[in-house]
Amino acid sequence: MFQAKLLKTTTFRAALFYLAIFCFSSVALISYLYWNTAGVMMRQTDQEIMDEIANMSGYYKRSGIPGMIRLVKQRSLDPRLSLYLLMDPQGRPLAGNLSNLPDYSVQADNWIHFDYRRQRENETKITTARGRLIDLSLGFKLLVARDVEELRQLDQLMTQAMVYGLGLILLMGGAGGLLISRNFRRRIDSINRASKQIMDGDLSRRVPIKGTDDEIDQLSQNLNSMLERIEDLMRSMRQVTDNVAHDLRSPINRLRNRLEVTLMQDTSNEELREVLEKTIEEADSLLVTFNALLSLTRLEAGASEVPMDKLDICALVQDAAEFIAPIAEEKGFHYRTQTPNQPLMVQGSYPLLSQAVVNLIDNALKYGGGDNPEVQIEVEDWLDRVIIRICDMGAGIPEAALERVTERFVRLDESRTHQGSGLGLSLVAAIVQLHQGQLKLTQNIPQGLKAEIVLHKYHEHENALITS
Amino acid sequence: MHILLIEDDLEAAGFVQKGLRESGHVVDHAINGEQGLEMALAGQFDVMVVDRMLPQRDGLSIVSHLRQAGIHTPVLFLSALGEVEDRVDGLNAGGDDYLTKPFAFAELLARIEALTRRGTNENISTVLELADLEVDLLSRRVTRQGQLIELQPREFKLLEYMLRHAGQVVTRTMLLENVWEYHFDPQTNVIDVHISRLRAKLDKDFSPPLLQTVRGAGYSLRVPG
Repeated sequence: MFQAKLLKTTTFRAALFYLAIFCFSSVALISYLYWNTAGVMMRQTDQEIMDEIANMSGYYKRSGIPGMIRLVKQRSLDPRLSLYLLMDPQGRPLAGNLSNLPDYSVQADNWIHFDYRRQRENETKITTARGRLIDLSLGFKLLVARDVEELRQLDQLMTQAMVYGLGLILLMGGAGGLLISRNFRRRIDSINRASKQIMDGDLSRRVPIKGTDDEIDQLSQNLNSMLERIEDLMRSMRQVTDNVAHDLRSPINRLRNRLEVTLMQDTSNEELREVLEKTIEEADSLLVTFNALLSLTRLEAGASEVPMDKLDICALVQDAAEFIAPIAEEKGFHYRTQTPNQPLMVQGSYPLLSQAVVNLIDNALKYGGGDNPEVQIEVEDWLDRVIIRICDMGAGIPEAALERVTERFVRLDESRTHQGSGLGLSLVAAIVQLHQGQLKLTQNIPQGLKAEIVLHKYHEHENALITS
Repeated sequence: MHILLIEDDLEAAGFVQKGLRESGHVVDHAINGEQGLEMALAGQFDVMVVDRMLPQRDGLSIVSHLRQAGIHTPVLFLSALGEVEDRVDGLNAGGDDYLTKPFAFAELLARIEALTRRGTNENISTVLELADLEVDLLSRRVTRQGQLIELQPREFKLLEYMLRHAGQVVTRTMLLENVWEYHFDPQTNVIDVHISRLRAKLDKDFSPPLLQTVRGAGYSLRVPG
């Protein structure tokens, strides 16, 4: 099973492929070497024998058998030269350095091979010779051969080297391929195992990283970052679900109880109408929360298709400030708006940015009351940025809670005296993030909350970049 | 008024039908996209209420089809998709208004009525009148019983919108969308405050009061009685 799996891996297939190529080129290389070494020597020997035969045949034609006998005897004396045997028609040896005709085997092209006893430097040894047996006229025969023992050994050596070499290549290549692919397979398997566990629900699992920073490590790191993000999203999802359960259950419960009690009592039409109106009101406020939650989810999912236009942030902030001004007046706030005289363009969604600004101002009016009710709204032109600043002089937010307030359903007044879904700041944060801006919540000096939205100014050449 | 409702959710359709009939309208109901398109092409309607997500043929496709066929009956889209981009898609396809589910019936009714009167009330006249109230759109002069009333630019816009829909119910959301171009719920009673300021200027020294609150729905600018 494991082996079969291994054979299917991409790496192993690649290893096999390279192995085949390598074997093929090795065979080609060795064949070439063989052809140019042993082969050349063999052909050279053959040529020499042929030359000698031609020579001696010529001599025979001129001097006949007696001359031939003399020549063979004379040549036989030199041990470095060839092996000779001259025989009469009955096969009796007449001259030569071989005592008689040995058993021979006929090779291609009438070449013969035979073993003979070689004596050289006080050493006797049976070696192989190669030569030709030719018919002279009148039934006389001449054997001319050369000792090819060294050649034979070389040939054998090279053949052996080739076979062993190929075997070794196959073995090493196969083993190497197997090893590499097993190693690779193991790492992929560990990634797969981790993925499987994650799919089974263990989101805290991570893909192991070897620390070699190779491509698999990089892949693993990316997978891990992805998992981190998914886990974050899941966590906030879970938090939302918890909060939804908590924040929506009580109003629904209240609603239900009221209807139930009304049903139990003997109620006049007038009272019934009143209860129904109150119920609709509460249902509406529930819907508001649901809608806010839905928008928030979609914004945070990175709604990439929100239409972004070039717009003047000063006008937008003035409109928003003016929109909500009656509330400030009604509550007796000291309410000031200050924007630069010239337009400041940003790339954004008018309804969404308006919503963010209105939300922040509304927040300031809700929580910024006190002895000195004051809200200041400013737009500041700051290098390549635009800052929308909303300051109040209220109780502010404790330092420790500043981070938390943009989370969903976080309301710092546990008594919940102010109406609202607890989603306002989360929405603002999501909108600002969608515009690649920053939402900064800090302590206002001397007191209160300072909320700032920092946005990039519109640049003509960035147009395509932002909308894409 | 003759209304075509194209909606596959039978329960929702039932409630809308009932409400519209009680408000004195005639309602035809189609339960899928193909049937809806067929009925829309065949019949004469004053307004169509089209759900965006329908079996067989989606709402956007129905409306672009109708517009191509030269039928310009006002269309109100109903949709569970409520984000800005969906709204823009709906209006681009030829819709005249867009209402996100879940909605209050009063909101739907007000919008349907606003759509049907849009054509008739939007005359070329530059002076809008209601009883003794006169609004000159060019000079931006507002008078009642001949007396000049000073309005802020936004108050003027608010009054103009209400006057264009005189006699109809106008919801807070409609005001938000049309006077301020805001497509979100500000989660405060700020619209009510704006209205009461306008009312103070408009009705305080005059009678009868023209700017009236319609409980559970919104406001209406009309001569009482």
